[in-house]
Amino acid sequence: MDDLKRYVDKLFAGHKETREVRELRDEILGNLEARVADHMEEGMTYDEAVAQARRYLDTVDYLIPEQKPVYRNRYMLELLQAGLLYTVIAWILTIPLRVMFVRGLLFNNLLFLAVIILGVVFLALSSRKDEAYLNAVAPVNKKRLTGYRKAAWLIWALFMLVMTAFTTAVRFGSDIWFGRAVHISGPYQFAVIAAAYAMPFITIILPLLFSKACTLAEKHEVDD
Amino acid sequence: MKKVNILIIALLITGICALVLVEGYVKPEMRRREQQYLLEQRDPLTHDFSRLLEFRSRYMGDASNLANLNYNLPPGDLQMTFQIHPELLTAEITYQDSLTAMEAELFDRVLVYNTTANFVLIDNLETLVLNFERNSYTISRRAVESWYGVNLKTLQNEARWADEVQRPLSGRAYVRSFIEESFTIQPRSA
Repeated sequence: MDDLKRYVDKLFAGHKETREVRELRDEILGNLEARVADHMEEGMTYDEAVAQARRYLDTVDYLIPEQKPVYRNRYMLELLQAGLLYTVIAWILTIPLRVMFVRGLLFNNLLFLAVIILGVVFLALSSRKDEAYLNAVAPVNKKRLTGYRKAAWLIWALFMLVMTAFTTAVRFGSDIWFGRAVHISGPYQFAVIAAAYAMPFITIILPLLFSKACTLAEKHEVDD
Repeated sequence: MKKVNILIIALLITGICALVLVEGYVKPEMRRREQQYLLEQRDPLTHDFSRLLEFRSRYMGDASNLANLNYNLPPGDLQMTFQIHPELLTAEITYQDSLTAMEAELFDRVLVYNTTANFVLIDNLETLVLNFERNSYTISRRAVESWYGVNLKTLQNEARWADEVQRPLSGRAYVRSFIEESFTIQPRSA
């Protein structure tokens, strides 16, 4: 029965080893072993019986408690739409940076390029209207998705902390080191400094997308 | 989905309008103003004194401050070397570029303006020597103070600088009198 055990282990390969998952795996293995025994009693060879049992269960994705079936393509399309919306907003917000410094100009151009790419992909995908495509179902691990969302916000918060410290060091490092008063010569100079601090905040669209992915997974879940 | 698509299209139109405005009007206008400002920095009559205030110093021995101050004075694109004689509280500036092409009236204005700026902004500078291609111009703090009749530090005020230093420079006779009365001019040996 080693073949069967290896097969079941393979089915669970991508899933975290929790107590529930372990119990489910043992239950499935027991069930498949019983099926193989039944098939052999009916006259099948061992290999035929195993092949027959395999056909009975080719995925465990929907059996794991955190895994929920969603309409994959509708989900992806709406997530792509949210990504496009966030990128367009980020692009507009960074247009004033074009007049302040070269880095701002490059950043804004990069966002414009992202808008074009996302727009083209979105248009291509949203033109597909066939039922089979729209109703294709795939599992989404909601627990894992929530974990990713938390990690994304945490990484973003750390990134912002580092970027704020970096900007302060670059702009005011020598003033702080030599104990000189910070001198800002006028409103334009103030705007340039404010923009240098604000620019990294645009990356908030990434953790926002992870949050949106969680919300949309609920929305596009397949009702039984 | 449909509402969001409309929102995206509206935002895209807004963004493209903003982009056209920034690239077609704001940036060229900024470049034009910047060029105008740089052009104004070449003549003492239109030079922006406020940009010099960051070079205020109590000590003439601060070589980098002295250099930065003089590179920010009109006409702004001259190469020069600096020699500091701290025991005499004297700074010597030698201009590497030939100024023969410069209009005589502008040259005189530059001479008066730059000299005054050095004494007004550097507290313990007593003597300034300016070496040009043909002549060497030497001037003391006392001579400048006697010309303006005030403590030079009071001219750090932007309004007073404009009234008492900058504006009078438009009079040719005023500038010539300053040079003749306050400078010691000696020809430089080849």
